[in-house]
Amino acid sequence: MNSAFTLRTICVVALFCLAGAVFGQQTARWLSTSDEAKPYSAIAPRLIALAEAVVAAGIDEKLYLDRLIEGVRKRASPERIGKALEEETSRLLFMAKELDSSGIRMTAESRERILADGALSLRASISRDEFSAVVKKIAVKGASLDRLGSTLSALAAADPARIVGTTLRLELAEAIALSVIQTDRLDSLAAVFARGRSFGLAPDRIARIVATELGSGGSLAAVDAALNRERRQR
Amino acid sequence: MIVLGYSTKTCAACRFLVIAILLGVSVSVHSYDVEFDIGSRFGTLQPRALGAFSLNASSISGAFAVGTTADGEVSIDTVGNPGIDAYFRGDASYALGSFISGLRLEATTLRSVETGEEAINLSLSAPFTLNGRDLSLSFAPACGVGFYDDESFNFGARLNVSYLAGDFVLKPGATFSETLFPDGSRTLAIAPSLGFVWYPGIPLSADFSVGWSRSETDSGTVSTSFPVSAIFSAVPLPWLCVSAKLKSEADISGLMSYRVDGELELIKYVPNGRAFHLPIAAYYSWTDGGSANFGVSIMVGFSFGQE
Repeated sequence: MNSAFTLRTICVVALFCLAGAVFGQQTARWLSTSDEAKPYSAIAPRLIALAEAVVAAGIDEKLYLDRLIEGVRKRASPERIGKALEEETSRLLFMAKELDSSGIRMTAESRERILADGALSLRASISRDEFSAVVKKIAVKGASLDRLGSTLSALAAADPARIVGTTLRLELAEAIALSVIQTDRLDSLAAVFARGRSFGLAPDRIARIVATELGSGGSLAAVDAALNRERRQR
Repeated sequence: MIVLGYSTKTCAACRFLVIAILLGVSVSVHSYDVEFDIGSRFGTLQPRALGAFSLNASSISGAFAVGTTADGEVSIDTVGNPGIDAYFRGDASYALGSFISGLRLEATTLRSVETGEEAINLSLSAPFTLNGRDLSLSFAPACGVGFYDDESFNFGARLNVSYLAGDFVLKPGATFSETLFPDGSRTLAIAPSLGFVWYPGIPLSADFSVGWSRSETDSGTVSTSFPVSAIFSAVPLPWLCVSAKLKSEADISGLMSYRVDGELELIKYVPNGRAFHLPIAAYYSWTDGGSANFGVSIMVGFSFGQE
């Protein structure tokens, strides 16, 4: 039993080293050296294969490894960690593909930043359709990746629980991306939604007003004026 | 006789509410939302049972848009004293680029147990709006008639500007109106105001407004006042809306009245645009005559709609 365990450990470490020689070096090294990683040796090959896919797509392996370490420190079960990392890898590969085919000019640093922020957004309240739609609009607008991140953050903050209908959210996301509102002011849209809710307007109605006003070239001032027109005036 | 007169008014108000609702639902709608609430209010006045209804509907066809809003609240207290507060608004507008012209019909009927006010008001306005990148201008000439305790005819105009400055929308405005009474007397009023709304990067907004109002009767009596309001609204969690409102009015001799309102609304959204509501509200009002009222209302409601 003991010798079988030793043999298995040697094989796993050898596999780590072999894999690490090509892709997924950081992940393989961490899995082979960290005490925290020992309970996960059974799924190590799977985790390394995922890391390899991430690195092959030109994504900083650290994004993947940070997520792995986060899961391990939460003492999640191997099965759960494996599933979570598969999903994270899928998200990272999806975003990288969307970004790389968009034609948006970006530096390696800004690409990594948006991948990190985007992964969080996709885990929370942003759908892949919304991400794709916003990327396309950002490319059309010729805007920077900062605007992509700010647009996704604004959408997530305005409707964190995805109360607004799917189609309308997509329209809203595109309208925010293309709007005349300065990138560093987009976070104010969460406050706009709060104000609309205080007027007793349904979230879908507020989203429609915001999308319509922004879509027709209006700024925050036009949205504010439209919300007031919609409010019961007494 | 008083009872008979009162009943007639109440029936008229109810008829008006029904007509408003029928008009509201008769619009060919692309989007709508409807909410029903029931509950009770208690405090310094007799406890009351409340029922509330609200409808918002709109339809946009190219540059042409129509919309309607109908709200109503009926109540009855433990000694059978009824109250009603109903509002109807119908809008039609045409957009030409960033320029929007429209026509708005508004109707209000009120029998307030809290203030003792009874009124029906009808008004027609024709707002013109120009939306710029950081600036929005609107000008709305209007005329209206009031019935019951303050029978009158009035006409006037309101100019509003919204200007974006950082996280703030500055809102200077001015209202001019002239009111004519059946005995031939008239009142001229002018009320400039300055408001600003703060939109920080969190789900919170704050709305402040200060104004000055001057009215003069044809007999030369002049009265001035300084209305001030502050409204804070926040959505700290997707299922929780919180708002606080302060309104006060003062003249040169001091504070004339104020009212503080607070509301906390729990909302549970379910698929297909439906939601359950639990609004809990409280208010405290005071006037310089020495009267003060306090009330708390708790309601449960259901809403549905589509966009």
